Amino acid sequence: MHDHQPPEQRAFPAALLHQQKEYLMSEITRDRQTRSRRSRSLVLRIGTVGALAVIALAIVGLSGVFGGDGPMTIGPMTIDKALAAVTPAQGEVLHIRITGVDSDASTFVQENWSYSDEPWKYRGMTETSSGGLQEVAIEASGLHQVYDARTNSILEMQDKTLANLTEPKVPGESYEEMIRELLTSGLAQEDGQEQVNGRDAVRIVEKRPAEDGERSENVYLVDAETGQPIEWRIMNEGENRTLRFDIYEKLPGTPENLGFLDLRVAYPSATVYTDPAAFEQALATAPAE
Amino acid sequence: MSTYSDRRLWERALEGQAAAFGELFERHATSVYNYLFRRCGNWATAQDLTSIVFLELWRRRSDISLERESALPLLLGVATNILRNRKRADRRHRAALERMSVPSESWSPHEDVVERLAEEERMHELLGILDRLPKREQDLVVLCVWMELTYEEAADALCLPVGTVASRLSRAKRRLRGLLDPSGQPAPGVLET
Repeated sequence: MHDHQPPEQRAFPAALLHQQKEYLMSEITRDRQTRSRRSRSLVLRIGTVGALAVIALAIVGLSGVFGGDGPMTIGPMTIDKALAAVTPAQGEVLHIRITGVDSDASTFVQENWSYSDEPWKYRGMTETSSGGLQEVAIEASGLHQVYDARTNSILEMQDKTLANLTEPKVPGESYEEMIRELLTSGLAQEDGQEQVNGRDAVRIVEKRPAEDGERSENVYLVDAETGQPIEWRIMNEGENRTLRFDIYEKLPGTPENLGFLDLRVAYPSATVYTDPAAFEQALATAPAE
Repeated sequence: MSTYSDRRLWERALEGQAAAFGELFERHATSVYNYLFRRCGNWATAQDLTSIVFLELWRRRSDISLERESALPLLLGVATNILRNRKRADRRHRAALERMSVPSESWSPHEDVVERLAEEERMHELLGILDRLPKREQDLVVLCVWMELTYEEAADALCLPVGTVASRLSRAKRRLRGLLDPSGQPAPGVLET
């Protein structure tokens, strides 16, 4: 490489500049018209249900319903709130436990803790219906721990490749990531409310256009007040999976909470191996349960 | 073009004046285009994504407050997120890209093809080096060194404290020095601001 300068800047092609500018302006105009129609439609619906109620609300200053403090939210606000709830925040430990039930009645539990500040840390575990338990903790410093529940032992290694990652490569499914994808797809819409285990939940459904040809339906239920996940019902080609968020909490990144991300702290009585061969040997020679 | 600041244009766009948003595009399309190229190393992709950055800015307008006079840091922040979530963004914006497809008589992608290919090759070499840094540091090298944003502007673009930008960039430069020249001498271009 003769030097380390990027190539000189090029002007955005003039022919495209005009055409794309026109396109953006028309998109914005169309978007505003759509929203305006949606608002009118909402007003009409309210009108048919109870014009008197609207008048009464107007008299008391429209407080409560449109003010934003109460649990009732309108359309995109809930989607935005739901998205914010599953977006990692700086300096917090996110702790999630999900129970999954599949259409064949098999169940699984997935629990993880993640810390997205520098250096990031992640601990995750998956318990299968056959009783297996897999758990791993990794962090940007290169520390890589594996816990085996059957032998109560930990393998601890240094993995230099972890230092090159800006975020952990999560073992198994990252449902938070999938939810973020759903909420930002432009296909998610609010679809009323229901009660789930005594909690007021807003239903967010994925309205996939028919031309996509996929027979799938996603119903994602979030807490009406906080937007935090409660349940996710995924129906795809006759296969159903329901994910219940038993725990969804954001904890301050205190030393105590960061301790959750260290398997030595989580399992203080475990035998710690630093040699993978010795760990494998311990697993192989342990009596079967 | 008008003499309005970006902030005023943004306010006018929010009030419903599509032409104000069009003007923002005209002002910053070239910078966004070059930033995207310097991140992905492909002129055609950069061209496709330029309008997407502006569309995404509009889509997220309820979350956005333009504090500075210039919208460029904000636009480059949006571009960074789009590049980071390419797969998701591609799907979301596929229809928009199809609607934007340009008639062949108005634009030939084969103009300057030799130069463009040479630039792409050179960019790939540079990105190969940059790729050895953590992604968060890569963002700052491109924003502050190659796009010449100030620390404050880069902090705005990435929603970071200015101190974090400074320390992260300093770390990135140190690492790059090691990668480019094991003797520790700064290599020209990549590190010079």
